[in-house]
Amino acid sequence: MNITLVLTHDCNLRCRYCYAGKKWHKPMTWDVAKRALDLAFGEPSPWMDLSFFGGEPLIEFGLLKRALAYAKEQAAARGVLLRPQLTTNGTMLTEEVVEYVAAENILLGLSLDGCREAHEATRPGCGGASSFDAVVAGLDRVLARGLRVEVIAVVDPANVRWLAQSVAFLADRRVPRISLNPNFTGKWTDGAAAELERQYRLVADDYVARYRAGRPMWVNVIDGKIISRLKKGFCERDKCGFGVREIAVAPGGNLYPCERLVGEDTDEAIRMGNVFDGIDRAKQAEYRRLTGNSDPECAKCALRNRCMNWCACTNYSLTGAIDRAGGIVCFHEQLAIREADRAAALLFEAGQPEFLKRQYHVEAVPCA
Amino acid sequence: MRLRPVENTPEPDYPDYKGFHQDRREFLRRMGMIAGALLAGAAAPGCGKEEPQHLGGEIAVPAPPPPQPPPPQPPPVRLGGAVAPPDPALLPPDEPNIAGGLRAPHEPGEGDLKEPPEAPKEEPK
Repeated sequence: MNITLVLTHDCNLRCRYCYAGKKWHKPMTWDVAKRALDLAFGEPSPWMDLSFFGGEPLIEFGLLKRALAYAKEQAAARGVLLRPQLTTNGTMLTEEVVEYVAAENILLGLSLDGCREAHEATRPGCGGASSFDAVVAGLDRVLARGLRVEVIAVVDPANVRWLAQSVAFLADRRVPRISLNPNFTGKWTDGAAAELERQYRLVADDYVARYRAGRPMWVNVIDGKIISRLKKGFCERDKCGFGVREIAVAPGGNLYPCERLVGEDTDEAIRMGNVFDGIDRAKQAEYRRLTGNSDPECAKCALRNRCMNWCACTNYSLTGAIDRAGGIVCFHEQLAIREADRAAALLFEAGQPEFLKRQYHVEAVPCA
Repeated sequence: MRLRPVENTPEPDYPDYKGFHQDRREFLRRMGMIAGALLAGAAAPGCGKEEPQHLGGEIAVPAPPPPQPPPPQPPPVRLGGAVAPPDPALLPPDEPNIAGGLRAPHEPGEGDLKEPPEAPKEEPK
């Protein structure tokens, strides 16, 4: 079970691609948070991923701490494995917060779009000021403390020209996991898509070069697609549990199948109950039935098992249907798979030891 | 932007996880046999080494046996009040998915066993 508490709509940044809508000050109350956790613990699951999301969730740091303390009590009482995580814009990662994150073993998702040029093109603060230095300072604090962190870099038409430079910037800082999140709902002109293609090629080249230099990096669109080849496709466990194993709670208490769809908390078509009346089981059953992909064109594709065409929130945002992919998803997936396979084939052919160790879990492979 | 589906299965020039380990096991088995044969040859009369004592019919240096899979485990017994181990299919992902992040598949693992790649849905008639 994965429950995401959207602690507030408020945020101190004004990212150009933000899907969360207006940044009004409407924090979640303790009553809503407690009811949400009680609801989640009422679902049969031996584990729980508890995510804190926003807006910027650290604006409500006090509520976050209280909610996590309560969740820990509940998990201990029920024998549930609890794994907390926090997605933050990184501007409020003070020493106090970092110490708390370390003490609670919270997995961090930190949003940073890469190098200065890329980040400043898309993630300004209120009033347009740069947030880059504050975020990098937060990231450095987190890395120095050795916390588990994944940097989420949104790839947007406005910053795609610096993508390879951005990945290199993050890899040079020894970010353990770099997650490139294409803004699929952005305006991807032919020119922007061509630039994305060029940049992914450069990222894959850099991926190979870093392995050869003994400093491998982890990038989701490369490593993920390699793994999808190794295991012959995504399995059910890899996919999000849209409304079934995953539920997001808006600050006001309404329930959504994915945190990305909370927005301004106005979409009744996708909403699935609230913390006061419970989960809308009819909606949940509908999501369970529809999740996946029913596009006949996709069914013909040889890459269908390695493709993200099942991502319900992306599909919904692009086509209005959770089981139909659209926009540049097809282009992106074909591109990512092609570049990942090119990089993997080069490294495999060279018998690169670190690559074989990571992907095939072997210490050493004798030459054939 | 809509692309045409990829109709021919692309075969990238690196093996899948299962294929790689099958090949490797076979390779190690052959290496073991070669090593065994070489050691046996080195220990043969006339090689200048003291011949080890063998029982009749014993092979001097047997090749190391191929790795054996662990013996099958009996199904777990659920005692009164005890919590049964979770079904592997219900195990959490090895690493949680970050809220707001793009999903990446997890490495091949126990929880994958019951879940073959998704077959395409049939077009409703």
